[in-house]
Amino acid sequence: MALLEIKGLQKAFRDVKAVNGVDLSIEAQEIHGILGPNGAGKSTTIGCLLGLIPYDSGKVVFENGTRIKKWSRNIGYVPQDLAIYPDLTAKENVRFFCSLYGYGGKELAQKVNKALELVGLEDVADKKSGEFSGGMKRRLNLACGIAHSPKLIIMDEPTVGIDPQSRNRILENVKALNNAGATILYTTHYMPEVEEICSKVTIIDHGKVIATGTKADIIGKLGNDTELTLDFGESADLSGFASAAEKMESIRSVKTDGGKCVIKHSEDIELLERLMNTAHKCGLRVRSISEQEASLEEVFLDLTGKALRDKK
Amino acid sequence: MLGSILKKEIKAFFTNKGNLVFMFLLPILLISIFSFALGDYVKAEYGTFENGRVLYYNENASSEKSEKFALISEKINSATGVTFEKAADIQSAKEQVESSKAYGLITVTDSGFDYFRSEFNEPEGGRTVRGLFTQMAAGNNGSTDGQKIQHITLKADKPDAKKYYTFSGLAFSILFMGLLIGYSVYDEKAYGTITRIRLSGEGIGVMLFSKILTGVICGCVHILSAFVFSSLVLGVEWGGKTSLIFLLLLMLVLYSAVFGAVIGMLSKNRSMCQSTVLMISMLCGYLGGSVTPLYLLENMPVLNIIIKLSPLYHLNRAVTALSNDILDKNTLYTVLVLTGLSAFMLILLALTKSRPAHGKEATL
Repeated sequence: MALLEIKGLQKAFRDVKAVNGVDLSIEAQEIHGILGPNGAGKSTTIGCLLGLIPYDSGKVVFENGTRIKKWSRNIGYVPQDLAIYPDLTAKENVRFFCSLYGYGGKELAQKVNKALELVGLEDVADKKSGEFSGGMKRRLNLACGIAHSPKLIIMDEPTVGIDPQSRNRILENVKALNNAGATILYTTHYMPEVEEICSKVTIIDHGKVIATGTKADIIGKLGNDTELTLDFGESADLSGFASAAEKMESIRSVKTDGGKCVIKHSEDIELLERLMNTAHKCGLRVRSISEQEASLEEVFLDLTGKALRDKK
Repeated sequence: MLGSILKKEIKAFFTNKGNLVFMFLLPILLISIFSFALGDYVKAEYGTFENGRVLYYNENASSEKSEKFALISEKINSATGVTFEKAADIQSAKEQVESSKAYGLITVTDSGFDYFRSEFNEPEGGRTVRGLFTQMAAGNNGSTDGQKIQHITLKADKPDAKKYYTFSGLAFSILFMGLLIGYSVYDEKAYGTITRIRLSGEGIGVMLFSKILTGVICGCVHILSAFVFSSLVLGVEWGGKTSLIFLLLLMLVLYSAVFGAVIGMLSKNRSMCQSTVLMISMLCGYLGGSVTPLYLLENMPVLNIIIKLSPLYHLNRAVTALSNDILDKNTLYTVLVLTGLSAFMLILLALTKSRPAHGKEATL
């Protein structure tokens, strides 16, 4: 069942089309990662679906076709900028945001404590958040967004600028929240994060969805190559072998680096045997073979290009 | 959820040291500085005839004109106590008038009387004397209604610098309170906490209402602080209509809080919020008589019209009158001006924020 359905979403700022017909479906209890370079339209899409930015055309509906106005209380929002009050303590911050959802008394206290425990801030609950480190603030930002037990948690780059320990803690929190039944929409620049926690991925660029599905789906659908590295030793002359390999079917590129030959190919079971035969004919002896599947980062760069996006 | 938001606002506001300093010290500082540094402005005994003197110079006028002048000056002197002194020469007499040492210079000639006064420094008492003199000089043989003179004399009040600046300084500091509310509202946008409040289903109106209410509470503390200080330290008598003075000052607090909240919502950055609130508050303060006494401002051509645009002008007039136990139309007028301005700003904000830029889905 789709918890969030976006169809043909469009939003332009004067002449610039920030979102150009985005279609997206978020299923219940999945962790859906949204990837995209700077200016791709991720934040505008989130702003539109949260009802913060009025969109030009398209449709955004939540569970059972409900509009944002009636469904917003089911959303937990963890923005990229720290949406916390520096003059209040961690506990006061979480308590305030949770109380906005009508919780009070013991129930409120339980939810506040649970959220603070989850992010590991229970020991500093009575300390002013303005005195926290960057990582602690990020974790408090998360606690404020999830204390009221929302069905859908939207996280906009929640790990920007923090140390590996805090990042790891947040990623663990995301998985724990998902295990507890929450659906998570997660935007980030960090591919390893998406690979680690997301069950589905959508890549957005120039305001359009250019790929969506599981990580395997995306890599598979786009036919990205597997990388095979043959190590012949430092003194080996690879010129003959490389030119023979380039002519082979299913091989996309061949590069030599010292005694190593890096071959990119689409999956072909018989390829390795043919390469071994060719090497033998060229008088070469293979010392080691390693194979690496294309990473999401490579797919991302393939799809969105390597040119810098924030030059203009 | 108003309770939750209000609780948070009050906690955040009262745990901030800067806010506490502002609330308790700013009115005391402004009242003290203005009272002692600008006290000479008010020493002109405006509104009274105390130490009032008018100079005259007889330019070989006929005995008829000289007698008429003597009759008028005697009547004014007996009714008001203002003395008429013969000037040695016109030039030095005019210099005295320009420096507020005398109300005016009357030159008596065969053709009549020429009344010279300072265009910028004529005190309230001087204006009254001029009006009386002109009125009587226009009548036959200086006959006029002596009762009218008596009435004007009785109505004249006698403010002093401490009393004047207690009210005008306090009003000025209340205007600056708008900055705290402006910051508080703007920070909600800057921190992004306003988005969380919106998503919770609470309207922004509730948040603004709680900010304004916090401002009003802060304003009450502000007024009480000034009341205690001025009464105990400066010995200022607030008069028998203190409750009405409090009411007017609370209306100003409301206006100031609404103004700050609206500017905070409309500002695109913190410095825009700060400069807008400060600039308008200072302008209102200067024009409203918080620095330069109202009697001086009211005597300046053009400016005497512009000052009426400042809500502080109306408030200071009303409060000055109330402190002398005079309840006049200025009180009602001030209430209307402050309520009207507050309502106008809130309507303006509602219209600005409810207008969707362009789009199908209404924003939260």
